[in-house]
Amino acid sequence: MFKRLLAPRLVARAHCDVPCGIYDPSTAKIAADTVAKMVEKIVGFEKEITAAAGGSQVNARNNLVRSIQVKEEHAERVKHEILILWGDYFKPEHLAKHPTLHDTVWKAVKLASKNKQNVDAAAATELQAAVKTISDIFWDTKKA
Amino acid sequence: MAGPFRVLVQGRSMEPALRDGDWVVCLPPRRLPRSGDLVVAVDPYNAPDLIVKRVVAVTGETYRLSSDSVEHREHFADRVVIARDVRGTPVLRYAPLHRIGLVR
Repeated sequence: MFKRLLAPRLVARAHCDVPCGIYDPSTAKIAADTVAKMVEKIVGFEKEITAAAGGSQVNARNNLVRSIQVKEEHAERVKHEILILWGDYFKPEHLAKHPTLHDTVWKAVKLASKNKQNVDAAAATELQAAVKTISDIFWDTKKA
Repeated sequence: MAGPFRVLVQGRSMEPALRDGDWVVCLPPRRLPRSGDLVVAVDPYNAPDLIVKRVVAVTGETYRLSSDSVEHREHFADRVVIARDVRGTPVLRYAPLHRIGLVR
């Protein structure tokens, strides 16, 4: 009763003109960590398949394919998330403070592709490091 | 709007001063807006809808309005209004209860 009486009849909008996202590099980091974990698992399942030569390999093969699929998806997610930060979040003033940003993003995206093409623990570690660098730049820009 | 009026704030672009869902009492303007004032004004892009924003610049008889939240500022084209568009100044948040207080 009181609530209805006191409720404002007018609305004052404090919206944005376009749908805005709250940006966060953690999704890219988790995806990069997942890629590294899948590389470990793929190598492990491959060993299982080799060891099971002559017996049933069906479960190990199933797990191998699943791990490859997850690696593929998460490497793509890394690219997607990094490119969103690059295209939508980072501004010219961020680039002025971090002049290596374009190059870092470019290399990170290429590393994500390399991780799709290969099963390479070193490349997965490099991808994690590249995403961390971008994440560090992101959080640096958040310091007022 | 000759006297005080109440508005519901919708959106997050004025955080932390005003949050989505705040109920706010506004007073009609008693003087010309100054830089730094929070104002409720008619949105020149969507009249007669109201917007709540902060005056960031005064040029002659026009007032540039922008968002407080850095996260959202990039997504709102500043509005330029004239004094007649400014309907009031938010002064008191009366709901939610745990956030009752003056608005600055």
